Amino acid sequence: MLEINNLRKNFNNQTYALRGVSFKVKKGEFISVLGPSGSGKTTLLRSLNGLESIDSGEVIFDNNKITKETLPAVRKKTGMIFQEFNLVNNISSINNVLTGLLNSSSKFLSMFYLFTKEQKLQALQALDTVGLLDKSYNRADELSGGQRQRVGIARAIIKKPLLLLADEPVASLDPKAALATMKLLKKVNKVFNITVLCNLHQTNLAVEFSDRVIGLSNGTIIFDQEAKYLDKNVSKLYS
Amino acid sequence: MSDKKIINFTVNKNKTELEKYLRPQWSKKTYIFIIITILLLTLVTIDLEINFISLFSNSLNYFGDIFSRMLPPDFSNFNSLVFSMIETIEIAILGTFIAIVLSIPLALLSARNIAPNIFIFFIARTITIFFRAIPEFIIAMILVIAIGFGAMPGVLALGIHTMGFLAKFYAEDIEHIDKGPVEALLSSGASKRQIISFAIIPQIIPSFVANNLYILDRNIRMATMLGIVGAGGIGYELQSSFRMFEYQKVSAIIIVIFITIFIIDNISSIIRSKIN
Repeated sequence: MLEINNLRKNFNNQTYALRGVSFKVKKGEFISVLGPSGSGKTTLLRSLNGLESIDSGEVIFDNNKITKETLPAVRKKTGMIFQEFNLVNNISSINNVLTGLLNSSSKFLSMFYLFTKEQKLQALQALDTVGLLDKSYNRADELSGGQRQRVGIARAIIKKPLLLLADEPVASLDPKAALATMKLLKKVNKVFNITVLCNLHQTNLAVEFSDRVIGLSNGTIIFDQEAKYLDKNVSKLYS
Repeated sequence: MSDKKIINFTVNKNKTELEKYLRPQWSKKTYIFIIITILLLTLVTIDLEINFISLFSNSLNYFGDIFSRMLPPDFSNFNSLVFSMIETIEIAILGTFIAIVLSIPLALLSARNIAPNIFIFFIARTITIFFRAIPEFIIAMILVIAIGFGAMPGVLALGIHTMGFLAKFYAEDIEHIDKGPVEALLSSGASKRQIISFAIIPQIIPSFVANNLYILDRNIRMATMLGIVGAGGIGYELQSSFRMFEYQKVSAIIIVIFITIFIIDNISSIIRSKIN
């Protein structure tokens, strides 16, 4: 479903973020990418939906190579959540979630925040899925960190993507909210059969929630294995 | 943890239940705001006896007439135009410099969080509002009467007026700084003046520079007009051309002003992007 071949990227012609990364992802997998800061995890994730350009290598998503031309189609089928949530703070949760549907909305009407009843019901359903139906009309900045990330997840899943990219989704959250967020990602993964690719710092969360763990260090993959056999390799990652 | 434990299959609400949560995308407030705005604009237009329809039907001929008399631009006195444009820029530079120098102490005294006391704060803020409230044109007219024609009244008028602007900008920046560093210095026993120079000034330097450039940019635009009241610069040429009905010279002056502002605008945006 997702195939990454020999991905390379460097910044300013000197700092290498990715030095030839390759792996395959099966539909419905929950994969965590572990690695220290600066290991290239974020660049890897962002290059999958074109937020970051790549220097060489290729990404094949849903049988199509990702290029400038196919990027809009790719973005229709992928959702992303961010470490700092990246919600628009002074609009309501439901409007934030509706932004996930902008690429399939009327360009003119959506400029004035007008959506069809069907789309609004979809947004409410997404908010219900993340357990925030009661907060639908609260401004995003009235919510707690954990709640904001759940709105972020609702925004990412409202279009029923094939792939959900999560860039350190719990790094700004307290342990309790972090656990709840990971549980929600797992639920999204199982219930809607959405493939999840998740950058993490916490080894324990990676082991607990993912099927497979990829260790990235200095822009190269140093292990790629099932989560349950992880133990030994982790120390290599942070040494 | 097994999957069963992780997935809490909440019974999600069905469609009819969700429909209860539907609300219109535009709130009542939005509609009220739109209606009041339209009403207000209509009343103001009626009160001013402005008729936009006659503007487009009758006055278009006059526009055509004045435009045809402005073309082609007459650059016969190009050298003197450039000379007075340079004078205009010089007036703006000196005026801006005066504004910066005067506004720094004023800003420190009129920022709520570092003003010595509420009395001084109030006086300083009143001064900034006062000089912002009087247009530089009026200040320049008074100064022309007091000290005579020339560049001096223009420089002072710009300096005093924009001092009020800059003091307001800086004071607002000081009020909105990140308080973290201030607390850190406070906890290590730094004095108020040390806090100002170590925790406050470094934080406002980027916007200090950006504001100064903006004011310089603005002052060059305003200085082009000051000559009209006799305070030096290209505005004098503009006014005398208007008086002599030399509309082709007027358009030449407008072109010179436009090109100058265009260049200044680009230079200042380059400088601003370098700073950030």
